[in-house]
Amino acid sequence: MIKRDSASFRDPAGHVYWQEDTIYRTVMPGFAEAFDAVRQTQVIKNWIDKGMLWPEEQVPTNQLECAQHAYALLKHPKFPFISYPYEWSFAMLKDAALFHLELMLDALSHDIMLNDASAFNVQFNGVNPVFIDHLAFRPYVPGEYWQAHKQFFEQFLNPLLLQAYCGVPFQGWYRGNVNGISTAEIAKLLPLRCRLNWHVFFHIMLQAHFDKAQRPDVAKVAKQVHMPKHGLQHLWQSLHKWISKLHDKAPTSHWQSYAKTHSYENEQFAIKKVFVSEFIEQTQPDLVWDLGCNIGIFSELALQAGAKRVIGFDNDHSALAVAYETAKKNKLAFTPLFMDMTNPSPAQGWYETERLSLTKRNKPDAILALALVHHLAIGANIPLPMIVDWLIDLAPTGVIEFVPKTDPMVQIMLSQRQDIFTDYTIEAFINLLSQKANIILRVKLSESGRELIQFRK
Amino acid sequence: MKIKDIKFNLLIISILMLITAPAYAYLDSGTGSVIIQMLFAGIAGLLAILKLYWEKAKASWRWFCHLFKRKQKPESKPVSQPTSSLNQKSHHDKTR
Repeated sequence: MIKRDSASFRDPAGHVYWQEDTIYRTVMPGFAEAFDAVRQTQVIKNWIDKGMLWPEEQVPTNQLECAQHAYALLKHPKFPFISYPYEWSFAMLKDAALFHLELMLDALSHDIMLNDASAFNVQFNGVNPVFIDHLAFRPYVPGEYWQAHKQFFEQFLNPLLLQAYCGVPFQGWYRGNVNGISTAEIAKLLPLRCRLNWHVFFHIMLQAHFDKAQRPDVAKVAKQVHMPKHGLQHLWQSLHKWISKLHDKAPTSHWQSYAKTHSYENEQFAIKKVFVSEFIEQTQPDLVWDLGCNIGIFSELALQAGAKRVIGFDNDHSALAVAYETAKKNKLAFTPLFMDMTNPSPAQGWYETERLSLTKRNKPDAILALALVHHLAIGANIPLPMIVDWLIDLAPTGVIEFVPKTDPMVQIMLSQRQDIFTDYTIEAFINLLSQKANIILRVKLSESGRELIQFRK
Repeated sequence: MKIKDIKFNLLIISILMLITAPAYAYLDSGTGSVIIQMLFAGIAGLLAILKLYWEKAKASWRWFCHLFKRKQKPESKPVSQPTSSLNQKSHHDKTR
């Protein structure tokens, strides 16, 4: 069955279609000249070879029923996991921004220009940024301006500034306004000391000021006064230099030092590692979701045990920063993403299908839910039956670590609130789980009653 | 950087040229965005010109100093002997 990608409609150059696990991209006749001019160079091939651009193969248009009127047809392998910028950590958005600027600079050195600067066109293959919009490239026209200047600021730079200069994580705002954060809005928030920074004054405050004017004569002038090529290069180099110096100022948490401060005895931690390793070795999953991945210790372990790819989710910015750095350092097929599991990314954008909800994009072959259930049940008041339904619905198999009320960590959580969780027991949890799935293995992890449970549907 | 490019930069903000850049209407570029790019190109151009003239000024100064040194050379020639401690040290090292 052929299905048009719900996010592929803004650019008239072509459209993306899905047929099973293969992606097709039509090239419309109006874009034919630009398409041929760019493909005549070796640049596209070079970028694919370097892993900067997702692979493409030109195939006859009759391979796809709905491509009869297209000028050309491209075929792509399926991307492992599509993530959205509001699911990225600060460091990931920063890397994506730098990557986009480097790609534009390289393209311009070959007289090629990018049509837009959408952060959604950059995806992470593990921790490596990859560009996925193959029709974004066209020949550079001498004198042209950077049409995507405003979009680059809204989708890359402004969210980074919010976190770097105000110490406020950008993800919530970005998710609320799927096109990013406008320059006018960020200009109102930046503290005075930042406004004295030359880059902020020039690129943000002045731009916001001129934006207010809405002068149509500027467009007329722009058509007649041309932008020199080296002007564009200087602008992108200057932005690259600025962004590379931005640092995450969001408050840190104790989870980032989880490797040293976790509540397990060494022996218990070793048992947990063996349990997870053996589960992965037995099931050999292609894709594992590590729910509440923390700094990614068990994600890395899953990869070592034979999982092909791990997507980690956590809502702690400090822990995610450590996980991403470790994954980069060790070159892991691991992508740690920001996600509050009680409120995962919804379907949104045009027609409520432009950006898909988390589980509509992909589902894992196995899950790890280690010490997560008590955060959902006691931290967020989600009833145990609902948690079990959700876990079982995510994947055919997985490992769950249950932390009972007798555990010191849960005691701390309960010390600040009334205990209304009368049904929160290991017996109740096992009873609910066994109604929906087979319990393959149970191992008691600690004297406090922590248990590791392996299930299969 | 070519002088031709630099001249273009000077003209950017004030002079309207006859060349018309094509409009790509797929994205809406804001007013502020266009003005910032014009200003950036103008400032970058001005800095490039200043740098160029600074280099020229430095080159002229070096040339002037060179001329002056030439005139002085015949008088100072017999005095020029390797006297620095570094030279003495290296000479001493070689003899060991």
